[in-house]
Amino acid sequence: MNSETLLLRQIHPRFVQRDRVTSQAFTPRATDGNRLSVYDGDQIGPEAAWRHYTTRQSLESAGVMAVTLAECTALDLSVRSAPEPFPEHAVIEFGALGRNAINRAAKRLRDAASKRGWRFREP
Amino acid sequence: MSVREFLKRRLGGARHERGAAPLGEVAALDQLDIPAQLDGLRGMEDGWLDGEGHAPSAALVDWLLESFTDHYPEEAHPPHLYPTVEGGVQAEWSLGNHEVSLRFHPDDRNGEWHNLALDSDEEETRELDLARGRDWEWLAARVVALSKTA
Repeated sequence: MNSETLLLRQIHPRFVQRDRVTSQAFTPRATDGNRLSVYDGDQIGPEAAWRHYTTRQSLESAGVMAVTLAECTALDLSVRSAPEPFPEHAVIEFGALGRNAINRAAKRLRDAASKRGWRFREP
Repeated sequence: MSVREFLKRRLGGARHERGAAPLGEVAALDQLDIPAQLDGLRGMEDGWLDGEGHAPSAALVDWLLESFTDHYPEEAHPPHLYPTVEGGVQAEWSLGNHEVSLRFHPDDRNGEWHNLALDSDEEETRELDLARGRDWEWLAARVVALSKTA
């Protein structure tokens, strides 16, 4: 991965309202250890990532959005490869950030991803 | 008030009579119809988020419909409404450089307001007691004020 690597984020259908994605789609859950799961865009493309997520993992996704590694590090969020449970898996670490700091970072990630636009939409 | 009555009132409301907003803007606002969005939250089941996530209760959705009807004016930009993993509802607005969210809790009538100015990184947070009309008035006034900066 390098600074321009796209980190592909699956967007749950309930997190899309009138084509606007909620910042919750970029908010880590406490049950996930404040880590946001993404696909490493250097290893897999948006459509292939969506197919893997919806068929191999049997999870719901309305499509794929993306932020870059540089956009994460600018927010002091670290990114690392996490090749379990599959090789293309990576995580954005929110660490010990508090509620407001997480909200702030999630809104900035949502803004960056929205400006970039959907990388893939569910057919 | 039923959703049908709410829709009738809203579609017949001042925003449509004024004729001041461009047609495209009016159409975009009407797509954000609040009761229609709330109706979309009905019938959700626990586990909706890949096996996690509580569904918003019918009581919460009913209360939100009644509260928006009673306290949220036509002049204020309507929010996008989403379920939260805890069984609450999150309202969000993109108003110019401001990304705003209001998180309605599932079990009480409080809400967490968070406003981030993307250009300056300034933040505004506030805990709202939405059982009271006064905090709804504050909310509506704040959204209207932020809309003017958009």
